[in-house]
Amino acid sequence: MNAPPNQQPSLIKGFFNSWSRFFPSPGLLTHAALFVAIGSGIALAFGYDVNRPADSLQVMILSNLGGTFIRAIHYWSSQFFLILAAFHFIDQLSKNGERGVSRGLWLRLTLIVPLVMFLMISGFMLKADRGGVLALQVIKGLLGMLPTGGNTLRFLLLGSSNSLQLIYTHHIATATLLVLIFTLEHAGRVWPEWRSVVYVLASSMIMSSLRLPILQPEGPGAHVKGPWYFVGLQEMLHWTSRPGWILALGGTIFLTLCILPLVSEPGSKMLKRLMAAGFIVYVGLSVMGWFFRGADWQWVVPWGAP
Amino acid sequence: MTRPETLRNLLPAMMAVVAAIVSLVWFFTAPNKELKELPKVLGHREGCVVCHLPMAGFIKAHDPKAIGCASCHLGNPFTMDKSAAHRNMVLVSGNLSEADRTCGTSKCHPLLGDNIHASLMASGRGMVSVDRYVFGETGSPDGHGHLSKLGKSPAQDHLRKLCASCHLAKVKTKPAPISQLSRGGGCTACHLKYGEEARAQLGMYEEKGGLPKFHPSLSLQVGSDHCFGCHSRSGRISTNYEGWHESEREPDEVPKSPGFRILEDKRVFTRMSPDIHFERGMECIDCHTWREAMGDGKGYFHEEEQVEISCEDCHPVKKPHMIAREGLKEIDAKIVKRRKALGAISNFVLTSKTGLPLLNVTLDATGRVVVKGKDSGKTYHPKAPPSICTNQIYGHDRLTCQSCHTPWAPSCIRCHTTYSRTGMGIDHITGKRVRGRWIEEKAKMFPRQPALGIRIKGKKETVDTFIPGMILTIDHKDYPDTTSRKKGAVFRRLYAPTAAHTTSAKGLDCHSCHNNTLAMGLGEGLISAKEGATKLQNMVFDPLYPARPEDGLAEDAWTGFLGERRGMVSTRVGARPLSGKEQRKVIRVGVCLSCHPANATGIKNIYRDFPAALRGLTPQCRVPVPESSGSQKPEK
Repeated sequence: MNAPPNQQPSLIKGFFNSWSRFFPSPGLLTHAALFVAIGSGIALAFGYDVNRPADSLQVMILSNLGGTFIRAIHYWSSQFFLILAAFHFIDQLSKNGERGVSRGLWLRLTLIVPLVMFLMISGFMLKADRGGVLALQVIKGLLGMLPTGGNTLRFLLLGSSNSLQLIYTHHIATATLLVLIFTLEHAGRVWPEWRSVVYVLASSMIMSSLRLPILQPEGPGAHVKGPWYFVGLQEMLHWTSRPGWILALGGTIFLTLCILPLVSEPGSKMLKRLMAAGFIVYVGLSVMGWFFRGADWQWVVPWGAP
Repeated sequence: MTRPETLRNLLPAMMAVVAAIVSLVWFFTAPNKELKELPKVLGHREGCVVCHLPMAGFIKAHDPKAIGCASCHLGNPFTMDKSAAHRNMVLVSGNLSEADRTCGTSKCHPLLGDNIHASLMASGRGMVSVDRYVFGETGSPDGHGHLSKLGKSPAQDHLRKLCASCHLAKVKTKPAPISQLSRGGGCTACHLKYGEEARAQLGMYEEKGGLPKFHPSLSLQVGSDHCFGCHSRSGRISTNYEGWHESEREPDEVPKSPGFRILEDKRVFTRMSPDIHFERGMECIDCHTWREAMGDGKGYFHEEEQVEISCEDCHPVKKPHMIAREGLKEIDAKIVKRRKALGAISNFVLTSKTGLPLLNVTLDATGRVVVKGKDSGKTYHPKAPPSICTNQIYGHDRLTCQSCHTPWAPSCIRCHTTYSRTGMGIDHITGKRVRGRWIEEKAKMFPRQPALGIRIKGKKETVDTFIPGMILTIDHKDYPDTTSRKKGAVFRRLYAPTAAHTTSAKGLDCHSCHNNTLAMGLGEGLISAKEGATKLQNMVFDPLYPARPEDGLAEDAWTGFLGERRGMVSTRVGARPLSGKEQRKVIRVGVCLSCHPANATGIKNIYRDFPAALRGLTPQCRVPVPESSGSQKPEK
């Protein structure tokens, strides 16, 4: 296998060089974050009852210190996993890393992107609080808009009833196992590096102590936003009357990632620039949605009256 | 080991130590330790009640054991962390800005939550549109507007600084019992009731910050004191109702005597005749319905459109329409169930205006109307109208009940409104002191019989009572914006329709209107025959007050003697003073009354068929042919 040509832009290169002077690489940290998230998820499963998801979490948060802390570690390690995976992806794409692995492995690695997004949003839905219930409605609606196979996909991913059983199964088993398998294959090792585990676990513990993840109370009109990584999508949904285009855009980005190794280098560079520009726009939309939207998605200023 | 390598190994170790310390601190300071019982309310666990129970003072439906705390006060019930639980909490619940998340949710009072936003008491729509009309900013007194959403025009600034505190949408920010100074607060403006224990607990909370254990109740017990704060102003119906008239005196000028009353805002009132319904012990809600107070979902322009009751609902001239208990809508049935006083009523009288039920009005076995006090449980037997009301006297078919049963209403005949750019005023929407102030220089306010004028009700003209609400000059010359400043001083002479709430059991006598220049809208004065006139009696009118230079009418007049005023003459579309022709008719009867009293019998009683009587005039009869004294031009 040919080594990828090193054409990393100086800004990104500088950032990751500074990073590697002090910390393990983003890839190692992602690996560790996945393990911490899985481990804390297994512990959390003892207190979580998918048949009464909201109630079991409410009881846990209000009356069980250990359960509350483990849930918080699961939450924060998952967020770190998402962020670190994105860093690792950017790092690798900027170094033409897609050309350094086999096409089959690249395809499997690319599949991790939607799988991780599903893991994150399914975790959000499994809270079954106000935000979770609304997220489930939105995702169901979006999948139903797919011109072909949408309803089938919705059934396969979310199930047909109001029960969260199938989502839970995918969250703890199907999607997690696939991500784990693809990650381990790519990493070339089973157990994560110890320093990376300490970093991720310690960061999760500190964040858990400082800011516990909360459940959103019920009630119409309350400020309900999706998880931070989906707020950009919410903002896009607010602007368009044809949400199908957003799905098409997501599908196009995924396919673009899949075919990157097949495209000539100049073409690949152009596609990456396009995706980078799209990523920046999405970050902008997320900032807009997170800080400048209030009740009923009306414009607010963060420093204004609540 | 190289230096970077050492650092790479040391950093995670340091992180681990920090994480362990922070986690241990969290663990030992976490609030949800050893929690044994977790109450469940409205289908969810609620952490609030762990700290805040026991809490007494509620009616059953609002007991926190049933609905928790977060249903009303928001916040986050799913955490035991105090600051997280109290984030986005509302201490004073019930404000309309949050009503759709508190009182008005689908689980609690969804219909009322929807209706209230459209109601006049929430928006003050009529106040806004009339004020803008008077200032010349709009062409009609009918229009949309909201006292919480005012712009920067002179009229809106005027409302913002003088009137905008009196509406339900005004946000109440501090917990406090209802007083004469209370304003706004949404649902709690009417439904909050502080008992002695709740007051004591509030005092303790304010003084020492202790957690109150006794909550004010939220119930259907809406006393007239809840209405008093706002309704003792403007038309002053609350004070009128209790028989108090606002004087211009200062509190220290009056002796402590039953003849005077000093309100919490230091206004001094003098004793007048109260409304008969007040004398009988009736509260505001004994007449007024929930649909009037909280709205029926429709956006009316003025109060008389939102008011659905009328005198004849309880004093009917024919048997009213009824509805059985089983036919009531869910919300009405719920209210009847909740109110103990109404429990025995099985059939309800329907209003003649909207055909909707009056939940405290029924008929007894003999077909007489029975009214129950909604809170008091008292039973009232309203009298049927006397024959003088039902056997129509010629020419009186257009009169409303209150035309004859309103002996007095507060009447202010002059107000000069100026804007001071340097003065400081209070913006009642934000509650902040701001630069710029409206100054009202008022004349004396009289308790006197209202004028009669014409209103359009449906497609019919009716004679109703009016007060000189708007004889005023508005001086724009100091207003900041140039366009408004150019308007200079504007003079208006508008009368406003009034339901004065000073109802007398006995109707006014014939002289009260036919020989009373106030009732005719001429202002105080004397109508007399011209000196030296013999058979053809020429009439003249001498007003008590001098004429205003702007329109030549007496200061307190609505119209000129035998004159015509049309156009911008009232705060309602189509309303107007009596025309010259109508005045002539009134005076003609007045002249006859001097020799033929209304209670005369036999040939002397000429009023049953007055046209026939006029055909049989004798040489002794005075025939009034009043001279026309300069009719007014229609007003633009």
